[in-house]
Amino acid sequence: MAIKTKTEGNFTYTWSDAGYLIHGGDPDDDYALAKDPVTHPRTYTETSTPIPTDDHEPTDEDYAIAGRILLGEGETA
Amino acid sequence: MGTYATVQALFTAICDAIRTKDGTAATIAHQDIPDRIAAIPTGGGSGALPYFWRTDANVRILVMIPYDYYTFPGTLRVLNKASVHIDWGDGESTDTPKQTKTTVVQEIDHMYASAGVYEITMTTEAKTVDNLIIAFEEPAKHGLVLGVSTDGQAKCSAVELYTGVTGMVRAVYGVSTSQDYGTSMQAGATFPASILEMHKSKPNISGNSAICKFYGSMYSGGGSYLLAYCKSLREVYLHDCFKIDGDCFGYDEALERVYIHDDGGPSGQSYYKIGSKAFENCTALKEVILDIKDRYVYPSLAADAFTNSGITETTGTIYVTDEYLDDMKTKTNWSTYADIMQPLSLYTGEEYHGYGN
Repeated sequence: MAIKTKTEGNFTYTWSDAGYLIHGGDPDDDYALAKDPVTHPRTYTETSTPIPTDDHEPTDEDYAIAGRILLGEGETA
Repeated sequence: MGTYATVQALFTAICDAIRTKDGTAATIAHQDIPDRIAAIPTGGGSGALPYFWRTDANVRILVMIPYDYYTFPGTLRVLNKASVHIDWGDGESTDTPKQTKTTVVQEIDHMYASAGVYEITMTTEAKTVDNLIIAFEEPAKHGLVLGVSTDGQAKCSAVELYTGVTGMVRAVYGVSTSQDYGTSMQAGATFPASILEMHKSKPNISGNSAICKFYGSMYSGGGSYLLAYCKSLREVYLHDCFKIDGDCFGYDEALERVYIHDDGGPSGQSYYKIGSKAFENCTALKEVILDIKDRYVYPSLAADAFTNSGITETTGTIYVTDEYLDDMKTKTNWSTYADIMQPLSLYTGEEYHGYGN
C-alpha cells in the first residue's frame, strides 16, 4: 500500500495504489484521487478507509432514525 | 394593456410579468425569456410544467378536479404545531387547528362542487415551530391527477411540502408511483424529512420525472441517488449543505444549474463535500454557483464529481465568491476547472438563501 503520484502537464495526481482514500489537500479531506496544480504541491497520507462503493440498502435502524428525524426528535433516541 | 415608450420598458414589463407568474424576484437574462415564458403553467391539460411552484410566502399547487362534488383528497396530513391556512381556490378555505405536538396527523378534506382546475394556496406563519409536512396521499386512487410531466407519462401520487423552522416551504414537487430507478438513500439525511417517510412505504423517489426544480438544504448528506435519474430536473438550489453524496444528482440529464449557498455564520457548516459522481452524466449542466461567504466552508470536490457532465475544463461556468476566486483556482480537484471559473458578481440568475428567504 503506497501513495502514488504522477505529474502530467501542470498538474500532480495523487492516489493510493491499494484502493484506499488518501487524506490531505485543500480543502483538507479524504480523496480517492487528488489533482493539484504543480504550483501548489500538497502532501497526502493513506487512510485505512477503502474507497467506498455506493451500495446501501436502508436497514430497520435507518428507518427508525428517519422516523425520529421526521418527528423532530433528532437522529438519536 | 399598457404602452411602452421603449423596447427596454417593454422587456422590463415582460420580465415583471414572468416574475409575478412564477413568484421569483431574480433578474432574468434576456436570452432566458423564451424558456421562462414556456415554463409558466398553463392551468390544465398535459404537457405543461410546472404544476407546482412556490412564492415567497405561499405554496401553490394546481390541481385538476375530475368531476362535480369531488372530495379532495381524503388524506391530507398536517404534521405541525402551527395552523396552516389552506385556500382551496374555489372561494373556500380551511385553517388547520394549532396543536401542542408535532406528531398529530390531521385528516382534512374539501369537496369541490364543480370539476375543473383550481389553484390551492397554503400559507403558514410558522416561524419557530417544528417542521411542517403537508401530504396529499395517493390521489391517483381517487382518479385525481396532480400533475403530469411534459411527456404525459409521470402522474403524481403525492405532493409533500417541507418547511424549515423559519417559514414556509421552498421546495415543492410531485412524485410518481412508478419508480424505475434508484437504489437507496442515506436515512440520516434531514432533508427532506418527507422523503424519509416516503421511503418507508413507497419506492425511492429517484427517477421521478415530475420534479423540475428543487430547493432545500442537505444538512447531513443528500443520500446516494436521492434525486438521480430525474429527467425533468432543471435547477437545484441548496442552502446550508453539509454534503452532496455521491450520485446524488447522477443522470439528471436536464439539469442546467446548481446553486449552493452558505452564509458561513453560526448556521453555516464547517464541513462540506461534493462526493464522487455527484453530478455524473448531467450533460446539460451549465452553471455551478458557489455563493459561499466563508472560505472555510468551501466544499471539497471529488475528482469525478462532474464526470461526463456539462462542466468540464473548457465548458460550463463555475461562479465563485469574488474574493476567493483566485484561491479556488488552486484548490484540490477544483483546479481542474480554473479556466471556467468566474466571479460571483457576474451571476445574474436566481438565488436561494434558505427557508423564509
